[in-house]
Order: sequence, then C-alpha cells, then structure tokens
Amino acid sequence: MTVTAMKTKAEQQLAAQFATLISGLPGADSTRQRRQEAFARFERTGLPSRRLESWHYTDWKGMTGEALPLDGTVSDADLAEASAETGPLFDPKATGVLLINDLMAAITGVPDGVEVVDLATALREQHPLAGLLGTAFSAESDPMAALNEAMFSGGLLVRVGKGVKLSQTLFANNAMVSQTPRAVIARALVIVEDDAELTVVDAISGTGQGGSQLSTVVEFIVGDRARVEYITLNAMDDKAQVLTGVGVRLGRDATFNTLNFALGGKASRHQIHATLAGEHAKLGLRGVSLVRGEQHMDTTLVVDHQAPGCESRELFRAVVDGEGTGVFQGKIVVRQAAQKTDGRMASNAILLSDDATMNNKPELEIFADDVQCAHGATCGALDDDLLFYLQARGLPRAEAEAIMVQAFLGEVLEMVSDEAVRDKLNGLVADWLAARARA
Amino acid sequence: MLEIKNLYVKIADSDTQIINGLSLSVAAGEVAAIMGPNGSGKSTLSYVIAGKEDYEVTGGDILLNGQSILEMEAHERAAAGLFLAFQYPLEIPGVATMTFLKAAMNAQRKSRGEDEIGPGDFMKAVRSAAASLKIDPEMLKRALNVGFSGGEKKRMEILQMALLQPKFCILDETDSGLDIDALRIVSEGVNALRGKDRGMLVITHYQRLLDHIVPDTVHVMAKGQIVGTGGPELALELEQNGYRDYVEDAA
Repeated sequence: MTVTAMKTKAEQQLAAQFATLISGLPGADSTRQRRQEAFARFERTGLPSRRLESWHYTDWKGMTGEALPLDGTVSDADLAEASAETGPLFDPKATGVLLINDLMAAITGVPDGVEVVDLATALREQHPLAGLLGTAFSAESDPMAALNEAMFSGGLLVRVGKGVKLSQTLFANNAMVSQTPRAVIARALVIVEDDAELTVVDAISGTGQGGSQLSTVVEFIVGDRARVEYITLNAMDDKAQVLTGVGVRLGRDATFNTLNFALGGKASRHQIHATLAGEHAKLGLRGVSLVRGEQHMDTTLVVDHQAPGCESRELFRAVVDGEGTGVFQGKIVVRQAAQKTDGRMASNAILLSDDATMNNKPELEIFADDVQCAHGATCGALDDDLLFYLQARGLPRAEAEAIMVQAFLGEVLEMVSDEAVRDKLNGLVADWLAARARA
Repeated sequence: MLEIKNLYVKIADSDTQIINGLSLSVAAGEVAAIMGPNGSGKSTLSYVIAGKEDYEVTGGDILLNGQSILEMEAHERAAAGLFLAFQYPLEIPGVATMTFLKAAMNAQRKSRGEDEIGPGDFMKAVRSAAASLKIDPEMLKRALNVGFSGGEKKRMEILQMALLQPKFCILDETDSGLDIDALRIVSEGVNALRGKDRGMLVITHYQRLLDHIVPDTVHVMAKGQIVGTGGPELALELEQNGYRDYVEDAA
C-alpha cells in the first residue's frame, strides 16, 4: 500500500509552475531531463517538514503558505528600485557583478583569466563546464536542492583559470526587487582551477515591496592547491523567505574558507555541503547570525571527509533577541578512508531575551579509526558579572551588552581577510545593536 | 561625602542577611580603611555601593554627596563619580583595552552631558597614566585583562581610576595577588589620586597595604557591622592581635 500525502497549496502551485515553465527554462534536452528527474525527487518528499530529520527544527512546509510566482523578467520599475537599493551591499564600483533578481545586470572589470558567463546563456550554448552543475550540491541530498535544480531560471557560471591568483576581491551584489510578490530560483557554478586563488563576496539584499521567496545554490569546484575565500551576506528584508545553499568540492591541498553573515529574512536557511575529496584539503566554515523579532534562521551543514589527512574547522555564532529562533545543525562525516582527519566544530549562541530560542545539533559520524574530531555547542545569556563590570565603569546596560556582542561576533569576523569587507560586516553588527538599543 | 546609614542587605532571592545595620561615613579628602576577617561582608559592601543587582537593600540608605544612590543603576552611580576597583577584575575576550577605556570615558561624559573626549586628548591621557603605572602600551592593544597577571589586572584597575577621575573610590582588596614591587606601584598610583575633594574606601585583610596607602581612619568590620573605629594605629593593633576580640564582641 502506498500512502500519498495531501499536497499543500504551495506544493500544488509548484507543480503547476513546473509544468508550465519547464519548456522555457534554460538548458538543452539533457538539462531538461535532469530537471524532470530533480522535480520528481522533490515531489517524493514535498516541501520539507519536521518529519524529515534534516529539517526537524525548520518546518519549511508550514512556513510556505504559497509558492509565489516565478518571474525571470526585470521591469523598469524593478531597475529603478534596484539602483536605489545599495544599503547593505558593497561598493558598486568594485570589480564584480551586479545581479538583479539573480539575473546578471552589469559586470565591471573582470580580470584576465576569469570567465563570468550568464548561466542561462552557458546552458543554451552548452558550455563545456555546465555539466558540473549538481556535482558539489547534489539534488539527491535535499528536497530543496532538488527543487532548485529543477526550476532555476538563471545565475552565473564563473571560471578562474589554472594558476590565476586574484588579489582583488570580486563582488556579486544581488538586489532582490519586486513590485509584486515574486519567487526567484537561481544557481551559480564557480570553478576554481588548480593553483588559482579567489576571494568572493556574495551579498543579497531586498526591499521587500511585495514579499519574496528566494532559493539559490552556489557550487564551488576547487582544484588542487587552489585557495578560495567566500563571504556571503543575507541582508534580505524581513518579509522574505530565503534559502541559500553552498556546495563545495575540494581537491588535493585545496583551501576553502567561507563565512555567512545572516541578518535578513523572515525565515532563512543556509545549507552547506562540503566534500573534502582530495588529500590534505583544508576547510573553514564560519557563520554569524543576528536574529530578532520573529525571525527564524537556520544554518545546516554537512562536512564529508572522504580523503585522508584533511582538516575542517567550523565556528558558528548566533545572537538571538526578541522571539527569534536560531537553528544550527552541523554534521561531520569521516569516511573509512579519511584517516588522520582533524575536525573541530563549535556553535555558540547568546540569547538576549527570555523568549529567544536556539536549537543546536552537532553530530559526528566517524568510520575511520585514526582521527581527531571534536564538537561543542553552547547557548546562554550574557554573563551578568561581565555586564556588571562594564556597567560599573559607566556603560549603560544596552551599551555593555552591545560591547559584549560585538566582541563575541568579532572573533568570527576577524577571519575575513579583506579589511574593508570586515569593517562593513562589523558595521552591520553595530547598526543591528543600535537599532536594538533604540527599540 | 559617602554616608552609609544603618544599612541592611541580603542576597536577592534568598534570606541570607549579609550587612546588619552598618553605618559609616567618609568625608571628602579622607581615606578610610575597612579591615575585617573573611566573610565579614566587606566585598558585599563594595558591590552594594557600586550597584550590583545580586543584593537587596532591606533597610537604611547610602548617600553620595547628600544624595541617595540606592535607586540609581550601576552606570549612573559611575557617572555620579563612584568607582569600584574590583578584587578580581574580569577578563573580557574580544574587547580591546583601548576600546573599552574610551567607551567607558565617553559613556560617563555623555551621561553628565559633556562632549566626547577627542582622540588626541584620549591618547595623551592614556599614555601618561600608563607610563606612571608602568603599563606596557602593548598591553593596551590586547583584550581587556585577558591573559594578564594578577598584578597587571590590578594596575589596569588603577589606570581606569586615573582616567575616569572619580569623586569617590572603593578599592576592594587591591593588594591581593600583588608582589612587593607591584604593591608599591599600585599604591603610588592610588596615592597620586588622593586629593581634598576625593574620598576613598580601602578594603583589605592585611595591614601591609596600609603601610603604602596610609589611611586617615580605620574601621573594623565583622558580621556585617562596623565594630571598631580608630586611626592608623588600629591597623597595627589588628596585625598584632588578630580579629578575635572584635569577632567575639559582635557575636
């Protein structure tokens, strides 16, 4: 006997959208085939709910009342709104790409040895590297990754050529604008060839005129000895529903460091799937979450140690205020072949109010016998004795709390190597705290 | 300047009474010492004056320059000119000492309605205070008190006191954890801040500190009360005979 769960309104809308859009979505027949398979995979689970263990703390099905219309076009009004929207984003004159609703709108000073192509064009013209889509973040691993693979309408393909070492930070500024409610499903594929070096800042912001649903998956294929630093910022408005996925596949002696800075969205989930496929690769995953009001912010990561002698470091810090909810799920898998793995994971949360919630779930799955792995999770209020010390020196309570929060997050942010970017992120923490003190 | 009138204090959310009808007054320009055995309530008294929330005042009053401070929060008391040099200064990871010093100075100025200190004046003030306390400028770049030795932490307390120029200072066992040289440096720092408009309350177990910071008056505290008062010679007497006489009297 098979049991078919009733589809929710949103699931029915997604099925109808897929049926209508599939013939027009970018990609040749082989891509279309994969999209169909991915959608079938999505439909087997539907929108993930608490019943799915990896979504236990984030009931995406319950949070998704309806699937907003997918619209890949950008109107003149959207353009005007996007150009007015520079707030949390980075220097628009810097080297990089401006995207509007994840469509490439402008591109500035792309250095030699770097290729940046609109993903829809790359698929239409059968770019030789487009076949790597889905290899770092598999549609099999997660229903929302499957939905993304089935329905993405655009994005970017970036290739940094062998041995090309970029000293300047590349920026991808992604403004989400919509005069009416709208969904955007996009994807990026970044191929960093052997011995290349790249620093990317990928920021999304939105004005939320009409509410939005955003799903992005960015995949990094990192070659041998290549080095990548990837900073992501979610500064979406507080009506948005945001799903950001990062897939990483590391070659031998490769280094990948990433930091996600999340403060936007009504509900958001940042998923990282990292595979250490080459020996002696080094992975650093970091995150800062600022949660307030009724926001829900989830960070879920899976680190898969497949090759021996690799190192992974995870440090995630959340500050939760109001009636906000933070979620951290971190799983380190060490395969039998991955001897001499060195993995350390920490998740720390500060709760600033009695109604704030944090769910921490660290997991280790170890199949090798000669490894060093540790994880730790902490959650609590700010230390009263420290607060008293600061207050006794004349700092009002809110200022004392702000200093301690900045210090708590500063330890994560100091890993950002681009000083201007680090200052900007510290500034966002200060702004958030100042808004809290005014409230 | 500081007047404590018939003060009763218990631990908040508990019935444990710690201060039992304590009265004490310290005039402007006066340095008063409080000595007493462990558990007599000396540190509690310092916390209560500074405004720590773990305690509840159940009777009496504390006045600074004639005004009750009991309703004021800790930061308001600091802005009013009260300074507590902690027995165990806290380590604050991630907060650079300089950043902290500047934030504290400006917070106090702000609540007094004064302008923020300029960066030049701030640097000058910090450098000169650090030099006289033999504090390595490199230490000021590090996180506040993190990895500092006991002596370094105490010197950092006196540095803060010198920068904040409080009206009334409470020194809670400033001598604990200090070797002879550090004791001398810290004491010189404190003595430099003695003045006719400033009062000080020096809390200590041992007479040793009072050789360096010579008090005008000495009070003996036992079981949450002042049980004896005299001049500097009282400290010497206690050093000879211990607290036994006073403890028995109070019992």
